[in-house]
Amino acid sequence: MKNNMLELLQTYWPLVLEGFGITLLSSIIALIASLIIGTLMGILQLVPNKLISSLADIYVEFFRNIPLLVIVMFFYVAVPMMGLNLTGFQAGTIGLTIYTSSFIADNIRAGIQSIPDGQMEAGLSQGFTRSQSMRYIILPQAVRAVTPPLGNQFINLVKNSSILAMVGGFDLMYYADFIAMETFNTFDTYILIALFYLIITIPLTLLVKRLEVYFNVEVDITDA
Amino acid sequence: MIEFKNVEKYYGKFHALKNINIKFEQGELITIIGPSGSGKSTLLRCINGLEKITEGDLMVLGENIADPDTDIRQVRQEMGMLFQHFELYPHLTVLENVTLAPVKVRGLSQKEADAEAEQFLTRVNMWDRKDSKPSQLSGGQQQRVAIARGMAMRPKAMLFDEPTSALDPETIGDVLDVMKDIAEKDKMTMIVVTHEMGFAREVADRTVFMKDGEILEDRESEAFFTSPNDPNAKRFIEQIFAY
Repeated sequence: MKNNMLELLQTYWPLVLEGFGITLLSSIIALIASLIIGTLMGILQLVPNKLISSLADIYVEFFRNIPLLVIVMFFYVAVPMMGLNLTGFQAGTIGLTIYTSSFIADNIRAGIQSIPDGQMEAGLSQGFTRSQSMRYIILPQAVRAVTPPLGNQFINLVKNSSILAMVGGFDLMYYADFIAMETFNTFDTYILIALFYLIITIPLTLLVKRLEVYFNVEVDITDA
Repeated sequence: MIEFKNVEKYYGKFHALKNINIKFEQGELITIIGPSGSGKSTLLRCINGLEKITEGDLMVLGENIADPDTDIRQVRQEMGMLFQHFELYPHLTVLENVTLAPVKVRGLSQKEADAEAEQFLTRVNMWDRKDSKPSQLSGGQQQRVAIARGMAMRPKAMLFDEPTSALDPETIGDVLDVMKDIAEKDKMTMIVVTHEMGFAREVADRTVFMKDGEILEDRESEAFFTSPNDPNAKRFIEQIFAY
C-alpha cells in the first residue's frame, strides 16, 4: 500500500497524466463547441419567428432540465443501438457539450435581453438590419454582461467532465477510481486528483476575472 | 414628404392613434406637443416604422409605409432619429458612433466616414471629444453626438423624440441651439416631439397639439401659442406656463 500522495504520484504518474490530458482535451472541445451552440441557441430564442424561437426554447429547456448523466448514457448506450458506436470519450464530450450549451444559451439570452430595447431601435432607425444591429451593437455589449455567468459555466464544465469516468472515458476521475481500487488508499488518491482539477479550474477562474476587469475598464455599461 | 391618411393605431385594445390626417412638407420644422400618453411619440415612431400602423396609409418619402412590400430600411436610411435617452452605442467611441452606420449601411470607406464625421462633430462642438466613450459625457453632450450621428447619414428628415426631456436644465440650451442651427442652415425637415414650449413657439413653423391619440390643433406656431383654438390646448398651455 502506498502511504502518501507523493508515492502515489511516483508510481502512477503516467496514468494521472493521461487522465489529466483527457480531462483537459474533453473540456476544451466541449467548451468551444458549447460556446458556439449555446450562443446560436441564445440568439435563436430571441428571433421574431415564433417557430424558430420555440424550437430553440425546447432545446434549452429540455437539456437544461435533465441530468447530465442521462444525456451521456443516451449517447453511450442508446445511440450505439441505432448503429453509431461512440467511445466513452466521444459520448461524454458530446453529452457535456449539449448539456453546457443549454446553460450558455440561457446566459446569452439573458445577456442580450439586458441591453435596453432602445439600442436595437437606434440601430434599426439608422438603416441596419436586425442581424447587423445584433452583430455590431447588441452582441458586443452583451459579451460584457455575460462574461461572469459564462465563467461559471466553464468552471462547471471542467468539473462535470468527471462524468467521463462513468462511461470508461479514461479521464482524471476514471484513473482516480482505478488507482483508489488498486491501492485502497482512497483518501490520498482523491485529494491528489482534486489538486489536478484545480490546476485547470483556478487559472480559468483567474482568466475570467481578468476578462471582467478588462471589459469594465473598456466601458462602464451601468453608466451608459 | 410625409403624409398620414386616416391612420389608426391600436396596442391590443388601446386606441393609440385616432384617425390621424396630417402632412409634413419638405423643409418644415414642426413640433408636436401634448400631455403624456397623448400619442405624440407613437405618431413619430410610426414614420420610420418602429411602430406599425393598424389601419390607413402613411406615405414617407414617396413610399407607403403601410405596404408590406415597402423596403423600410431604405426609408430609415434617409431619416435620422433622436431618442430621449440618446441611445449612443456605449461600447464605441464618439467618432465610432458617428461612423458605424455610414460605413456599414451607406458603404463609405472608414476614411471617408471619418472625414464626414469630423465635419458633423465639429458642428455640434464635440470634435475634441471624439475619442471619449459616451459614459464619459454629459447628457447634453451625448445628445449632440447623437445629432451628429443622425446627420452623418445625410438624411432628408430628422425625427426628434423628446430630445431634451432627460437632460439637466443647463445643457438643454446647447442641444436646442444645435437643432435650430440645423433647421436654419440645412433647411432640414424636422419633426420634434417636445415639452420645450419656448422652442416650439420661437423656432417651429407649425405646432401640433395632441391629446388621447387625436390631433386637436395644427397651426402656425406663433398664432397657436398666442390664442389656441382648442380648449384642451388652451388649458395645457396655461398649465405649462402657470409657474
